[in-house]
Amino acid sequence: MSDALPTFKLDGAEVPFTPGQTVLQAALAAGRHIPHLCYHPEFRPHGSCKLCTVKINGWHATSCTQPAKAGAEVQSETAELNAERRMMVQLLFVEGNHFCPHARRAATASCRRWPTTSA
Amino acid sequence: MPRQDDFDRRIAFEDIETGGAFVVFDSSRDVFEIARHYAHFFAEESCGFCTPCRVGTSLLRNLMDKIRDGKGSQHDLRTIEELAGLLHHASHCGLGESAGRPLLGTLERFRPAYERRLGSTAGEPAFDLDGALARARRMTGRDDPGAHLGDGS
Repeated sequence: MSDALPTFKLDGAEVPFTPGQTVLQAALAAGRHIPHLCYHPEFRPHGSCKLCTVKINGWHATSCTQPAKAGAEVQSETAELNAERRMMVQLLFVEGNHFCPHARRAATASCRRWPTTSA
Repeated sequence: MPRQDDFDRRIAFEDIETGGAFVVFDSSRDVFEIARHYAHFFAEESCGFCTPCRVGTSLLRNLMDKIRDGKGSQHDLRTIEELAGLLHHASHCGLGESAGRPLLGTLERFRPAYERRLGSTAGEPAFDLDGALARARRMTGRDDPGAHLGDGS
C-alpha cells in the first residue's frame, strides 16, 4: 500500500483514499465492492436508495455520501447489513416502481452483484 | 411507550429518550388505535426521499390497518418489528428513524392490544397448508401420517 495515502478499515482490511473521496468511491477504487444502487460515478452522490448503508465506527451511514476519514472502522459485509439491504430491495419491488425488464443495460447493472442467498 | 408500572423511570437520554415532548394518554384510550394513528401520520408525512421511509411507512400503515380489520397474524407483528428496525437504522433523517418507534414501543409494552385483534395468534398467515392437501389426499386415497403436515410445522 502507498505510504502517502491515508487509509480506513473496510471489514478489517486497509483501504487507501485521497482526501475528498467518499467511503464508496475509495472502496470501489481499491477493488472492494459495497452494494449500491442510486450511486453512479457520473452523478453527484445523493444517498437516497440507502443500499450502500455501512456502519462507520458503529454508526449507520450511506457510504456514497460519507467522506472517507483516516482510521475509521467501516463494516459492510455483515449478516445484519446484508439482511437490511435485502429488505430494502424488497421494499423497492413492493413499491412497484421498477422497470428491470426494460433496462437496456440490465446485464451490467450493479444489482447483478448483490448477494442473492439468504443469510 | 412507558406503561403505568414505569412511572419511576426517568425521561433522560439514558432511560426514556424523548425529543423534548411527551403525550399522556389515560386508560380510556385504545393503545392499538393510538399506534395506528401514528403509523398513518408518518406515512402521510414521509417526504419520499429515501427507500426505507418512503416504502416502510406505507407498509407499516397497511399492516396496522390489516390488524385492525382482524386479518393480522403473528407474522405481521414480526414484519412490523423488522420494518421498524430497518427504518431506525437506514432512514435518512429523524422522521424515518422514529417512525417505527410508537409501534415498537406499544408492541413491547402493550402486546395484548395487538394480539387480541389477530386472526390467528398461534399460526402463520391465513393459509391452511394441510387443508390445501385435503384434495390430493382424497384423490390418492391416502390418509396416513405422511400425507399430513404436522401441527405447526
